[in-house]
Amino acid sequence: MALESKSHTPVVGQPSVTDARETVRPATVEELSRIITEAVETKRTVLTVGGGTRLFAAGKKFDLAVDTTALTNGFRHTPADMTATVPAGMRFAEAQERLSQKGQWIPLHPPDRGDSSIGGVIAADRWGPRRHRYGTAKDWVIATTIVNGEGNIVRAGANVVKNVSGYDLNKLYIGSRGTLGIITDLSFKLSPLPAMRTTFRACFSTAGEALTTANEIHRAPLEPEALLMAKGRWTAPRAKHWWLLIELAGSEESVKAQAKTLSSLLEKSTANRWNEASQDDAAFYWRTASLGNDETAPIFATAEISFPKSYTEKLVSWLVEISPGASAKFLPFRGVAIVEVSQEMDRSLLIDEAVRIGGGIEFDGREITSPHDRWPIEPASLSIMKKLKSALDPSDIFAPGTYVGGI
Amino acid sequence: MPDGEIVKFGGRFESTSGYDLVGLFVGSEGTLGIVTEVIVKLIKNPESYKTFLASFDTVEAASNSVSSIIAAGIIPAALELIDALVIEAVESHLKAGFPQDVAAILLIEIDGLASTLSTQAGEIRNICRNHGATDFQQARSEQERAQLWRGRKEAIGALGKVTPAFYTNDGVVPRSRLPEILEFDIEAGKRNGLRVAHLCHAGDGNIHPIILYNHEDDTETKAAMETSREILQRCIDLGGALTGEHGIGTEKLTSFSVMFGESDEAQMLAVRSALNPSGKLNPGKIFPTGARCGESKIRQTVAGGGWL
Repeated sequence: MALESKSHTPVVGQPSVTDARETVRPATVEELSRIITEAVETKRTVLTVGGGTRLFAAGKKFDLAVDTTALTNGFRHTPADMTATVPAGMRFAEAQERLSQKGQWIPLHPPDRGDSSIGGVIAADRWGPRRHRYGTAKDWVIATTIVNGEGNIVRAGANVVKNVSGYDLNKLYIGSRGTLGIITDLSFKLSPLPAMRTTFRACFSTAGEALTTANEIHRAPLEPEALLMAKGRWTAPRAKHWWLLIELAGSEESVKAQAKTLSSLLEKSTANRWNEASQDDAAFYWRTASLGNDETAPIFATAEISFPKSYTEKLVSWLVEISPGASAKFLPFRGVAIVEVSQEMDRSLLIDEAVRIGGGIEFDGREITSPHDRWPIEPASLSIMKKLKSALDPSDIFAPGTYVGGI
Repeated sequence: MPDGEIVKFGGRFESTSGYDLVGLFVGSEGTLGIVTEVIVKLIKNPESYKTFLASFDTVEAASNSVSSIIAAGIIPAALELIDALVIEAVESHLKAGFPQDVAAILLIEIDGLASTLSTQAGEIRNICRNHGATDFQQARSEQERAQLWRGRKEAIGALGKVTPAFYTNDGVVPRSRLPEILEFDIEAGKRNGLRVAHLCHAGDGNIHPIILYNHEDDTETKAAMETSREILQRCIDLGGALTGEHGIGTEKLTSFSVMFGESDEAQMLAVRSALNPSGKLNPGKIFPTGARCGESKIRQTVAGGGWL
């Protein structure tokens, strides 16, 4: 079968299809399977592109870009099972909108301007502030269909919430960024949409004070949906203060009771000021926390640091010391932080610190093109990952050289 | 690893770079490497919990209640269905306080913030009543709660006293299909001349049909295997899975291809070959090799015991 091409206008600022000699936009899984089979035969490399917002091409050129945004058939929501199957090309926001009509949602909260595809969100394992309560894609994806490196259509998992039949290959595909295959649909466990949500914001002079209050919130009889500690571009751009952003959700009765508890806790805290936000303000706060404030200058790079939760306080003070002006956001009870990295900053300092505390680190920024710089990783794990890559993509056609350790 | 190398994946934190090797190893049944140490994430104890016991005249009414509870967006911490055969065994040996003369009970526990629980408790009670619950009780003390859970946890042992042998299965169906599969299990047992008891993690759609048989009787043993095979086939037909907790092992090898197509299996085998190239780690587990008829193999693996 001849490869179908379509003209495609590259979106300014995104590497997407400009990095590929040709773009195809299959509308069915079978069509995609034929395209990949042919790409294997003709030894052509493939870059998978969804919404294009988190694409990482490592400055490389590819023979073929597969645009997944036409893979939108087969959405299936079974409210009584609290599961749904979503085609990979469907926009994340559209899937959520459809699920919300039956009072359910995929409780992931990725940074999204509305154009992210569900396949892209999962392939890049994106997360946001509600990770505090709901974890990440690994906690919610129950089945996947992919086209693998031999052009075969492969299914893993089932539309059930508990399953240990065979290997859990879903886990491998999440966060694999199109290097093991092309995700064509995903099934999720769902969560009931809370009847009510409300957001509180509190401002502190120091990181230590913000963290003390976060710990008090954690110990209190509260179940926040999100609890974020942030400074700089992800809150109020020019302020030096640290902010806590807290979202409560649930039944009206529960949210009101929790709001009362939280208000009295914040009133007694060392917060300079705090408030319960209006709905509009809350939407703005969370958007800023996810995507950054539009007023700030473009960011050079970010580092996502994973760390043992007990180390939160030391990590915060260490960061303030080495880079007092840098923006940062922490999910203190998940042990993850995203930290602004400037061009001048010595990245090896961050890597050494992450290694020293027994954590992990990933850099994200268009200037950081070498996978080795982007994803420092220890050799033993890397060697196993390389074996997996060769097993599932034997001809090395899927985005070669773009992933961890140059995979 | 098979070459003797000691490798550490993950750490005392949640996210790692690259492929999720921890996720891949969990549930790999010793076919990729031998796990020598694990680090687990802990969660905060819930502020409070409530435990309920609902009684029903029919298994169908109980399983319909389960489906309706989930459909209402309530996900209890535990939602267990126990049928009359199991209740009888438990009460004759343990006295957990399960009601007699009922077809099934639901043991339901919800946990979380005290401010959330009372609303949920009311909704659950209404759902059970609407489906014809003949009784709905809340455990009034920690002692009562412990007694109920003891009945649940030791039920499998109690069953050993009422049958020479039993075969506990472990299938999964989408949660809304629970009433159908439970009805099917009992019918499948009847067709094969055997009784099937139920202890289910019903809220997850995870069924544990317990097939009662006499292991010294070849005909009954064969009938037990056939009943089990039919039940698993039905789970898959309903969009479910072969196992929710216990794994494939050697027991479910013959049903593997009912759930997975050739390319699905090839993908898993490629992963196994990558990490365990000689196949020396747990050979014969998970993947059917060679001829796909293992009736005699299965028989050796089915002991008169249970694992729940």
